[in-house]
Amino acid sequence: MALPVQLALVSEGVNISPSDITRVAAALSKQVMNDFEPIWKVSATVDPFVKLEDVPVDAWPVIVMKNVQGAAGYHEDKNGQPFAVVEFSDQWSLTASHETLEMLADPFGRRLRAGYVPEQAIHLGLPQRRVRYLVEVCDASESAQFAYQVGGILVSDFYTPHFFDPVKSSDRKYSFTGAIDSPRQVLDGGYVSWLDPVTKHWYQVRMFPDQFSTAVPHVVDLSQKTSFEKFRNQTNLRAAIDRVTKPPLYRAGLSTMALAVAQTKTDSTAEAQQARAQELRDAVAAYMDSPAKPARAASKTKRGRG
Amino acid sequence: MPKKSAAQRKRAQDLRKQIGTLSAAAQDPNPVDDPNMEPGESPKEYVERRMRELDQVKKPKPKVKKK
Repeated sequence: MALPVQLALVSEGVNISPSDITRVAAALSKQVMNDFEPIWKVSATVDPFVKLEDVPVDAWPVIVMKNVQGAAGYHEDKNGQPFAVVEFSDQWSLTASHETLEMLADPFGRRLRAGYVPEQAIHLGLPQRRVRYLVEVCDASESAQFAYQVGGILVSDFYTPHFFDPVKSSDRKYSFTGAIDSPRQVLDGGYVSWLDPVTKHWYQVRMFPDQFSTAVPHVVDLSQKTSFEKFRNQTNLRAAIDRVTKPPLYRAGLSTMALAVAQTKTDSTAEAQQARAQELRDAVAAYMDSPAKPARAASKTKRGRG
Repeated sequence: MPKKSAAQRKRAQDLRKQIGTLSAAAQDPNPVDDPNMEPGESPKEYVERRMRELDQVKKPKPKVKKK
């Protein structure tokens, strides 16, 4: 039996209602249990907490904050245990889902998996070669346009282990939603990172314009063009990657129509939940008013302690 | 309700301190995230500036002569 993982969703310094934290935690828990675990074989719960002091000492926190700047993303505490920092925004559930799933697939930010160089990079002139990818299950399809909903809450798409397959097969799924439809494909707004064993440099293919190029896609030599190697000496691979990678906001990928559809789904879920809550209140009220319920005083005496 | 343990409170304190350090580093007027950033420039401003510069150096498309 594997040791189950407990993640703690908690806000810090930002006014998120306990109701919202609870709803998002429930959605993430369901996403992990129903969607992620059957594919990646990782068992975990995501529990809501009102403040950091409430978080069990062995839980891995996902902390929602404002103005996090370069602190956003994955980190390790002084005992080497993982935690994530999520920037509060109107799509914070999507970011929280992203960090949750990546922490579960690679808890210590250094898991590598072999595969061929992405086709998109080969078309740009890179040699066909066997390289080592950093396992970041949400980055290739991180844009909000590829997100889906669980219980009316927006959550991130993620790739499957088949993402690293050498060739495409029609009976395989490369990401949960199917948005990625071939191995090592990077979608609009996304990126993947790999180590080239020949040059010993780290690279990324980026499907968004940035300070290095406005062409999409383009490849960035992280070891040469950024401070990546400096950060790598201070922290783990994923944290170093997070420091030098600044993709566009998730919202930029969500078109007006897609946003409207997402909002309609959220509204209809909220309506159903409200109706259910009222149904439960009515059922409890009916039970309390019922003359048929057992006498509570008699049963207390029988069970009484001391 | 059981009280929160001293260990939980201590861990919360340590996490806040660590996040504070990370955020402060990111707001450093002499940033180290990218060696090409100018002092006082935020990462967002830097990316926008570079993209404008890249657009300006794009070569114009050659004109196709009509037969």
